[in-house]
Amino acid sequence: MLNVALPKGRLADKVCRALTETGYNVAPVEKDDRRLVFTDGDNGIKYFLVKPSDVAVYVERGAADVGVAGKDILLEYEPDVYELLDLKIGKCRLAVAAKADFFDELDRPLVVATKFVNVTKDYYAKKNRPIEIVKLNGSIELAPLLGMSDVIVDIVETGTTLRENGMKVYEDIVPVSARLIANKSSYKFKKSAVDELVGRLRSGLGIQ
Amino acid sequence: MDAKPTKKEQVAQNLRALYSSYGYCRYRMSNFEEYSFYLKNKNFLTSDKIVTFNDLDGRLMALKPDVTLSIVKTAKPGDKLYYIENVYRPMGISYREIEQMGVETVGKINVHVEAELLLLAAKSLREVDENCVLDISHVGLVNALADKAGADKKDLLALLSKKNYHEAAERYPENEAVLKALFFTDLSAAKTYLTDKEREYVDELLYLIDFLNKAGQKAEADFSLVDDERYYNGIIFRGYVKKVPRPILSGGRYDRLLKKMHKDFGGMGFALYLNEISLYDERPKFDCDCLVLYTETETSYHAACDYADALRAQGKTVRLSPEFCPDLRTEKTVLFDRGGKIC
Repeated sequence: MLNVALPKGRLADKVCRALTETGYNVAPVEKDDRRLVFTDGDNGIKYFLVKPSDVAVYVERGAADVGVAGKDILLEYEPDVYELLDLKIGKCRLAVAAKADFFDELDRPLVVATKFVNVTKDYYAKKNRPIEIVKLNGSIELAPLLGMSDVIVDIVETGTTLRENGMKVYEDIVPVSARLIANKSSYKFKKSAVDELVGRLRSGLGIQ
Repeated sequence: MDAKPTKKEQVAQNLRALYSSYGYCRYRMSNFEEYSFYLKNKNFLTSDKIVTFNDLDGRLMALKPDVTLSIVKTAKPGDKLYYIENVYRPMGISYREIEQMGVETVGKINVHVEAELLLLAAKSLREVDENCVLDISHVGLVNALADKAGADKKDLLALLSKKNYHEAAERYPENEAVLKALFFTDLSAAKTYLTDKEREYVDELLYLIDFLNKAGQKAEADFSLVDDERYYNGIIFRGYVKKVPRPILSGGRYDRLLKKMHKDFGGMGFALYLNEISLYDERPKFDCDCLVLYTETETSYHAACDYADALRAQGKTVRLSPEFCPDLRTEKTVLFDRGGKIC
């Protein structure tokens, strides 16, 4: 039995569609009930629905053999897992955004609001720009509007939320999409099942 | 609950016997070394975060994060040593005490010495679980291939350690064939890109895997094992067992570490993380199988003693007590009355 951790929420719908198209039975997962574990007996797969930022933890600690996690989460937490496939779904980018009238005052540290603390530190360390981080867990866009930060580092998909709040993207940091990750030990012992999943997703999603 | 030894204790005992039978001698060391010693070799360590404290004479000391460094510092050619020691390393957000068992061999390292050490590693894994695999790579070979890929080597090796072929192919599209050989551990394809000297690495790897397979051990080549080439120069390996989600064994050939210490000979070793073996122990349901209570008469006490001894002879754990123990979790509680009868 292959244990697969799937992210709850918007990405889950896209991943489920991809799995269905490649012959896996995820119908029970898509049903909106409160169960957290689902079994596809025919394909020998057990699915768990977990918080997107926790998928990497489940896989790294071996509770799940494989999982689908955003590249943003992998960059932020750097879990010791294999990254086997770019699913090319859930595409967005990590970017620096600020109010439209933002002016970078280089004589003082830049105040950055984000939930991606490590990515932000790395990014500005490479630019040699001193920063002060304000760690937030949601509604990051609010920070510059209330004067709590100069800029934000966050996921940007279409930019609509930013525009509606009088903000815009200043710099792109890295493109983000969903990745199939695997536990290093599980991959040794369930290689054929994992490789089959990779192969079916690759052909189903038309990934070269 | 049986009072039998834990899996970790059994494995440690069996491995002591195994290593001794191959002529390895026990090495013991202090829990502390001077911090400056680790600072000089910090890239050899899995982390540069080390528990430090000032000794009474003011010297900055460290709780040892590693055993190999201490062994090779004083090792002489021909030494074959094994150890069971605790090391202190950061894991997650705090330091952890990790129980390690390992072997080191220093001096002249030829392919037969490598084969013996790999065989000991494979046998160590099998002591933990028959369902195990030893992954082997070669630092020289992987670095030679990475050089030929025309990529930023540090970046490429980081991607390789994650088997992240898709990003490597996107970033370095000009050498797709070399990347494929590297990321999918294709030994015969790898050979076509290497010089005659470098092809010897492939032959060495193939010989060792064949040797282990013929000895009935499961071993595979996997280039995604990556170690610091400033210390490691040849064969490196990791061991996995079914129940543990991380490698349980790690080792390699570290001639370059010895060279850094101005020693003109080779070295190779591995460590097995004993802590991880606790996953193989059955979770106890009770602190003690049976609580036998007696009342304050000699008759009651002797009857309780006989009852307890009979259970112990069956391998059960039994606590004898004149009073009830509210916090003790037991499968069964038996009370003997004043006349020595069970009530």
